[in-house]
Amino acid sequence: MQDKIILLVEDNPDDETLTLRALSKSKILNKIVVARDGAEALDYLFGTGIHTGRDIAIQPQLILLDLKLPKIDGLEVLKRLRADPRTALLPVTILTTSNEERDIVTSYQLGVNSYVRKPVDSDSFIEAVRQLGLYWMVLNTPPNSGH
Amino acid sequence: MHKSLGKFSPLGWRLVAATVAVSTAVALLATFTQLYLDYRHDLGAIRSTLDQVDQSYLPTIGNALWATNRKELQVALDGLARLPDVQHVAVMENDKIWAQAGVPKSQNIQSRDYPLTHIHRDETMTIGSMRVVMDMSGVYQRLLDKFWVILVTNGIKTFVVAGFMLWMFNSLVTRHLRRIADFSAKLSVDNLHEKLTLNRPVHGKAQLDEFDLVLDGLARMQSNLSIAILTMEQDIFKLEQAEAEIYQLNAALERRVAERTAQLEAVNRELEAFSYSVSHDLRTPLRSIDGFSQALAEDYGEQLDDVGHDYLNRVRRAAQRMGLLIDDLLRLARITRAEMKPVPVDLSAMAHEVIADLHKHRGYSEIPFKVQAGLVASGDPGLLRIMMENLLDNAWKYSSKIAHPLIEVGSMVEEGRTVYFVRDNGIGFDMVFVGKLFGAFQRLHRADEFPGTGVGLATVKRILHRHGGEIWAEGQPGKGAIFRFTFTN
Repeated sequence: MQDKIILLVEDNPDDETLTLRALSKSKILNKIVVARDGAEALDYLFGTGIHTGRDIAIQPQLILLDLKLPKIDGLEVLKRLRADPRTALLPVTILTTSNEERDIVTSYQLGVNSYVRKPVDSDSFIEAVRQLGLYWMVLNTPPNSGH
Repeated sequence: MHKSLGKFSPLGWRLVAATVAVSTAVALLATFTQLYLDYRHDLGAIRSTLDQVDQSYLPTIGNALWATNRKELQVALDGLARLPDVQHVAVMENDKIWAQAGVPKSQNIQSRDYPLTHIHRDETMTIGSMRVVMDMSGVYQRLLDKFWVILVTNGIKTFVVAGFMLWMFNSLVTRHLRRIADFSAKLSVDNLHEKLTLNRPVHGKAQLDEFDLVLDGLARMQSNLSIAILTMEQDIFKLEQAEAEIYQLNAALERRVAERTAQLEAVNRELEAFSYSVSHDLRTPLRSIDGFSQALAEDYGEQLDDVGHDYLNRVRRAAQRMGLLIDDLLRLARITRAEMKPVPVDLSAMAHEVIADLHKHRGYSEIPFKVQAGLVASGDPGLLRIMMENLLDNAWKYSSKIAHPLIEVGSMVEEGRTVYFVRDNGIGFDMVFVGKLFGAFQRLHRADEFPGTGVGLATVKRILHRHGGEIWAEGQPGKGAIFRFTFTN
């Protein structure tokens, strides 16, 4: 269980805190790596920048990706990691405030696995995060789990 | 089209032909009259000669016959035969010619028989007869001669007069007519002021003729035409000016339309960006407010008393309500921008679906519904669905607290157009507030009485406006409300 990493890409510290709290309240005790913008997320995934030297054989089992991010936005991050064979198959869930139709459509066109809108009501938010964690970390079988 | 006649003048020739015909006919009539009169005169002369014979010669010849004086008789007969036109004189006794003078002929003759008598002892005795034959050839010859003379002189006269007339007619009429015809044919807008003159001797006012009238009439016509053309040119100028003005106005209008379109597009883009940022940025702090209030209540709840918990609950409720308001506002904005794909929509079926949904997902208690079958309208199915949801949600909400609620969906024909309606017998409203009904965020009831953001009916109105239709409402407190709507005017 300890190797299974969740990468949370979130620029808003409040949302970061609330998401981490929701995960811990849902008893999801995986290691959670937080990237605060798109560039940092890509650095982590590809072992570049501040993450130079990281063993990129170890990749997260789930990426929770916000859309509105500084430097490189969520859709661009999604596009780049889907374009690279090392990260092309990683499960990515968009977790965002936006429910604009074009964002949803573009995300799916770029190959997202799931799109979840953050509800304002925190009960609903906690429930959404709990279900996400349960599904992706427990129920779902990722492609690299065979070895 | 100007036809050239050359030197030939049909009018002149027609005149001459008519004159020659009439003149010839009259000449012939006169000639025959003259000849007839001459004939009568000659015949009279012959008759008077014959009468003369009766008086002057008969006694002498009678006596000579009685006395059988042949010599005297012959002398008398010879004398008689010498009279003009006397051809043959014969004295006969019992059809036997006793004495004669001249040579008898059989043609062209006129004869008279005279009885020869002798008075003997107061007794008149017929002793024979005398025949005088007059020759008419002379008379006929003279008549024939006269006829030829008259015919020839008349013919010559007629042709001379005709030739003269032709020449006169040409110099007086036809050449001027040709000149007028040429002038009229060449008359155009460019030489309208040219004056027509005829090559004629100058004459005073006393000798004005028909050509002067024609010249005068032509000049007037030219001047009238000039005026008409001038007026027309002015009109055309005005028309051209108006056209140029219209063109300029059109160009200005097109420019303005283009400007407005660009402005509208810019506004639309801004609105979209605004909506996007509202949707994203306004909700983010709300989530923090609600999330941390909940975290506070859960993680530090034992440090708060009931009042503290109540306050935290109020903070959360307010944040959640603001979330709903933002969502409704965004939905309203989206309806204004949404693309429309109008198709025929079965409103009856749609109403049943919406009722089932409201019942299932909103947990509304069951309320009797009456939906008229076969309600069809042309519109965008997505937008019509939102409209139907809001109208029925509204009716349901405001009927939920009465004893025997009934909601009806139907249509009627008013002034030739189909008017649809959604009617409830719920709490209704006071018509004083009807103007507030369709305004965004306008509510007639407190949120703790009936939940809602006040965007529903504004959304419905906007959807109907986008379909070219309208909506109006009637209500009475405690009696219910009816919402009527049309799609196209």
